[in-house]
Amino acid sequence: MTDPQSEMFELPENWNEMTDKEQSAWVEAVLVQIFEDE
Amino acid sequence: MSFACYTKVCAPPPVGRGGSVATKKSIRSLRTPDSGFTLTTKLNPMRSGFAVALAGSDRLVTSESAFRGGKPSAKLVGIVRDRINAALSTNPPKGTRVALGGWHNPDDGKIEINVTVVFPKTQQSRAVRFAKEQDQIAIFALHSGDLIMTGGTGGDRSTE
Repeated sequence: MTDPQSEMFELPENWNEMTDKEQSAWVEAVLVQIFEDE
Repeated sequence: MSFACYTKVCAPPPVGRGGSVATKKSIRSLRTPDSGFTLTTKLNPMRSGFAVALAGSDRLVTSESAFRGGKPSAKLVGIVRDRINAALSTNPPKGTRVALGGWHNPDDGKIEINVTVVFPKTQQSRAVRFAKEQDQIAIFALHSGDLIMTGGTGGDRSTE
């Protein structure tokens, strides 16, 4: 059974097709969300 | 559920579904000296095995320049993105898993993000041998929290 909580931050499936800018935007969004909730 | 990037400019994870609690806790540990994380390339925390960083894979940033106004700096974002890509392109030794490692060194205050290889917890001696080959100071037992010294130098610890 899949634990929905454990997979929320999976990299986008098309990560390797994303531009550097898109990858950075995704990483930034994730990190901001992580540290904002502190 | 995975977060798919389906627009031209990738959207952040949906509000209110801000990621695994365990992953958040792991990454947040970067603010705390002598704390760190080992995440799969899908960014889920790893809880078992011996983590060994690859020689030359460390990217370092001082804790002061990793955060600006309480938010992760562009420098930290760039390093994390770069190391994710490095991990994805790494072929780990047979029977091991590649991971993304992070650690806040209490001695110099630097945060390092690296590419890590995780050996099964039944293969401590193999992990130690590999760590010596990689000139690593120590390996970390994810299942017990033990640090095992391996006698290396850890390589270059200068920041970019």
